[in-house]
Amino acid sequence: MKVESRNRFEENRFPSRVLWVWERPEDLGFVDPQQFAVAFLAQTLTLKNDDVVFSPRRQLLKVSPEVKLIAVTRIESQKTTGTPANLSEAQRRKLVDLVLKTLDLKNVSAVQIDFDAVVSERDFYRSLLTDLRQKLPGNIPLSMTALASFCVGDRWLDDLPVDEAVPMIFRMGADERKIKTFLKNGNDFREPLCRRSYGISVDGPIAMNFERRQYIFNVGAWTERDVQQK
Amino acid sequence: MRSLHQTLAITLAALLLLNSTTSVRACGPYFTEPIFVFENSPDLPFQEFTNGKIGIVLPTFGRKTLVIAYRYLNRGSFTSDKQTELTAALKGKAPEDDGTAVVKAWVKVRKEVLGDDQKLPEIYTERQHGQGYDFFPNCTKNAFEVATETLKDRVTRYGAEDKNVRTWLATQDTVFQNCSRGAQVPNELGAESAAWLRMDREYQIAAAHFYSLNFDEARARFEKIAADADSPWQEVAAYLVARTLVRQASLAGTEELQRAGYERAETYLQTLLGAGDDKSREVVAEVGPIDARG
Repeated sequence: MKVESRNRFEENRFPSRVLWVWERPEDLGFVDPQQFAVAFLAQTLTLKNDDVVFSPRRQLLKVSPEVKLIAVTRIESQKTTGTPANLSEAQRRKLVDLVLKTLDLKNVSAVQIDFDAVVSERDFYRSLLTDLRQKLPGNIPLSMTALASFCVGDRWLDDLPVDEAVPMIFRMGADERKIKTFLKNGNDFREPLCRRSYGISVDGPIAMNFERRQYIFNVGAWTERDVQQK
Repeated sequence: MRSLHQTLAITLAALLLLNSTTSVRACGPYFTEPIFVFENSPDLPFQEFTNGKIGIVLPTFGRKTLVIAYRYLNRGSFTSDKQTELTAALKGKAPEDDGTAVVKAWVKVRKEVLGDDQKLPEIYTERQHGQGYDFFPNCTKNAFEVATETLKDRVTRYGAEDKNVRTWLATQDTVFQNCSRGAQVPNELGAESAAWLRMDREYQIAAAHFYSLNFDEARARFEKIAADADSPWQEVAAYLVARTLVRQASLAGTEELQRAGYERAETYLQTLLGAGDDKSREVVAEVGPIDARG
């Protein structure tokens, strides 16, 4: 019988709603720390040949010191013809170092990786997460975003050393209709790691009855009104 | 007659066989593919883009292109002359590199002097803005270009094994550590040191203060170098006083302080422009970012 993996978000009493904050100036002084946590884009790391190109956040973020913060690292692999990413050991080490550095940012108490890994990148991603989990302090939650299709299809997320895989139930592209029908028919995500939280967007919410942590994406800058409506 | 037919048949067969052999290419295969969207540059002709028809701006565009778009999106504009210059600049090198090439070039020349056994220092060019969550490009491309050229020059003049050259290089490593964090300032050198090393050191100390965000100290030191007729850095130091003022303004905590800082920088730049020397013409390029704030 499989033992359920740790959920450090629960252990650390993270609020049940999390605002995703992307690369734009944001003043979130109005956010109630009891109600919301904030997952902000801290950096984008681009895999290019054997390099990791570091692009930190360039936009101002204001948030109360009481709000629990999740530093999000977006990973992209450059797919320009002629310069595919090598997915090397050196790149993995550098990614791990750079993700760990986000813990130095004030009040960050969890990290999240956002990497839409294609099939050929999954082994690399798995070893990255394994390495990262080993180097993170034991109480720091490690989250990953997941295309909704990851959570209903094959079981490659199974046994990943993460506290949650957040299925993004918005802007699903080619999978949109399939996933919506799947959920509308009362089905749940097959992957247990995907049953701890889910992500929606303010401009295209899907009515969900899950008693799970909810990540909310906003196409624009957050306003007090947006947050009150959540 | 039969022999003639046989000869013709053999010749025809040989020709057919030869014609069926495809030519060999060194590389390939190549396919002609339609390009619907340029991911790294605006549509051609660039003149339309620089005139303000920016179309759909992609984040993958080069830095110059994005700066032009930023100006228009902020309801700014460019004069006709500037548009022509920008078009020429866009044709010069597009897409721009991501800034890692100059750092690699610096690391390469550094390695040539020190050999493979030296551990490479980790260089990140971006620095955290105060205690916040945003970063800014602290050590720019030009910093690494100047360091690379200076190291090459000093090696040519004094040799890679020269202890002063090694000292210079170790000091430059210290300067670049400030790009991403900390405030490590090299020591001043005494009169017993070689004059060239002393003057380079003065410049390195000023640069270290600049990258550590100690702007008042950096500016005072650049001003002192700008007044030193013997320093090889005299000319560029005057320009760096302006850079220091601009950087200080851009990182000021309030809009009011920023505005005051930019005004001070602009006044200084106008004075430099009025001086009319060679370096002042280069400084004209720096007036752009100050215009852009509005």
